[in-house]
Amino acid sequence: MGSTSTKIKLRTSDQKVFEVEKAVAVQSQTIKYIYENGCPDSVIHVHSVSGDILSKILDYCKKHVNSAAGKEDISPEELYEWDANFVKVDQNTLFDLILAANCLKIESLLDLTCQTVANMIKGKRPEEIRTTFNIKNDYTIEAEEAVRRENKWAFDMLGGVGTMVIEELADDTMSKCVTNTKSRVCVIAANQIVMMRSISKLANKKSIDVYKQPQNPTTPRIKESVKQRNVGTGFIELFFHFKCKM
Amino acid sequence: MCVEDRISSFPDPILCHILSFLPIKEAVRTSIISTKWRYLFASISTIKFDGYSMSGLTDRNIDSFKNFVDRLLKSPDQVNLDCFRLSHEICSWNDGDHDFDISGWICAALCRGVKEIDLQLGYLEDILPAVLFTCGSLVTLKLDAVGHKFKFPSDVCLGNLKTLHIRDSFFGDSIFRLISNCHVRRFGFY
Repeated sequence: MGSTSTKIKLRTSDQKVFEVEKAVAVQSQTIKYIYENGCPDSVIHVHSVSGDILSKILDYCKKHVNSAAGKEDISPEELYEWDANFVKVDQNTLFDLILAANCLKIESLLDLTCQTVANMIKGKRPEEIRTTFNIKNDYTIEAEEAVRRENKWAFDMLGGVGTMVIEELADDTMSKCVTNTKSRVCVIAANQIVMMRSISKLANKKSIDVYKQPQNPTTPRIKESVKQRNVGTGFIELFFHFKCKM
Repeated sequence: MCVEDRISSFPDPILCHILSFLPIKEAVRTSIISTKWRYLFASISTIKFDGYSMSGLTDRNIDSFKNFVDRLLKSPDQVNLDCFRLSHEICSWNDGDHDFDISGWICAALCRGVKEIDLQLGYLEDILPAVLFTCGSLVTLKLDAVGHKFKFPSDVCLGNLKTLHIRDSFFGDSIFRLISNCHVRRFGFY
């Protein structure tokens, strides 16, 4: 006998039976293990996967097996496109695919689906992430602050200490300030805007971002705490930090 | 959108797998989503410090970053690492003031059975620990040591190494020790 297309029978959680080519089914390490260590003719139960999801998964496996075996004339770019379309599904289906790929141990499908979810997280603020996945924020205010502190480097948006020079200063004093500061952010007071251009040039050389002080300091997106420090005769530097409220 | 929060009920390994696809800074930021997500990032299997993750580091938060890396790599009960990548931006902070222990980080990654190491550092002479060249778990090694003389030690033995990329280095005869001691299948010299 030795048929080249051995079939394997799979029964899903909702009692649907699929008959699949062995080469396709054993893309799943779980099915492969069960097949090789059990009775080859019996039906394999995939308890935690529904018929709809298994059907999609088998489409995926078939596409990839055929493409790898050269049975289908499809370039890597076309396969990549196909994969991209494969995961354009609603969130519930995507999650079902992840759980099934995990349970069936299909590594490439698990990577594909997890990457898709990662793309839904990337670039979003925490509030947006919570909305996307309907997650409830169960942190207390204190706990949330503690988390931000724990990994300050990841949460700082504008890079920490800003130096704002507020007094009437001679050009060279202000230049000295900018030259010597270790800050990455410099904020010019509203009444010092005329200095802005010369400061900007100097600041650009040091890769310092220059901002105008917001007209309304209680802009909701900027939280500032101010610490005053007297650094020498004739002027006061105000150190404060911007935190973009996330 | 799901009506309920399904994602937070995923097993931790799946959530960590998802986080492994994010830039590390964003992975760490997920800790603020909800209490369930607080420590997930600590179990990611891919650690890449590149220009993006290093941007925004300042004197004010650099200690926080250093502590983060120390905790992440040296914690005893961590999973195996798949990939550890450092790029040259990290060197600009490796001065007397900040005392980054890059060599120690590489050792810690090796202790966690890392499979791929990718170092795009400006210089490698004092940084590469000797254990790098006798690491049994390493499958892929990429070194970018721009223009510096680079020698493989005589007892180099990387049993599982399959891929080796070397960029912009002069390594002389010592490369033959590596080739003869290991079963490398893919070479890349740039």
